[in-house]
Amino acid sequence: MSSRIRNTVRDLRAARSMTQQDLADLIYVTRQTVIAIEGDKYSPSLEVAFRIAHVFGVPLEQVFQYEAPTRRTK
Amino acid sequence: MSAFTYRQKALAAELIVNVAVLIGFLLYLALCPGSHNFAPLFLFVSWYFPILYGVLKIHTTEDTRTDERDRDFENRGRRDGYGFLSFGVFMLIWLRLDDPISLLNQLLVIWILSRLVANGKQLRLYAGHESWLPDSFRASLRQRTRRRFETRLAEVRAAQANLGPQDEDGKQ
Repeated sequence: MSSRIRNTVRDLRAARSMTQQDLADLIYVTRQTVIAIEGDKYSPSLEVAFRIAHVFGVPLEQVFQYEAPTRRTK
Repeated sequence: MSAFTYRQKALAAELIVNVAVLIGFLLYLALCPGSHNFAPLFLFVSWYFPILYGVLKIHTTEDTRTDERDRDFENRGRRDGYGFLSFGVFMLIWLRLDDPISLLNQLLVIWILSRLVANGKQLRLYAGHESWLPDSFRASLRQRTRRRFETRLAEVRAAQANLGPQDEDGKQ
């Protein structure tokens, strides 16, 4: 499943020397969900997305980026 | 640490149990065509084992948490399962089976199949797929829809460009 929503969760987590389990505990999800989010296989709800941004102390758009579909122009 | 959630393990176990019950029941129907009075027993077994597994798992595993992803996948799986069940019941009504025992057997088979559909869909979602269809096929379908939409959008824009303000006033 290819999502148009990309994220930098893995980089942000690595920069803070945080494990997947640590992040999962902080945002109240399972470690497998963190793995799925990092692999762009699951787009979390807004609430979880905001929780992730809050944990890293960065704006939401720094964590999640939406790739709009490109339109062909004449 | 396991790569699978508690929910995934439970689903896989439920799937296996349902397949076993279905095979057992179909074998029973094939081998004992005269006596079909054990459908409630199979119904009980197919209910009982997943519940027993779940209870055992809860008591033997530390991490049995579920989160929004589990709930989302569960809802999507159930939707497919109930859709299949509705279709099956509709087919039974359409076929108008007169024998109540035979009807009960058919209902049981459809019910187990609907559970298999629900479990299978959830496991497929956990595996990272979006639906039952292959990802490449879905991608090509989506691309075709987008292309059609873009063509239509271009036509509308071209029509709007050709339509001046006077024409719009004239139409009103």
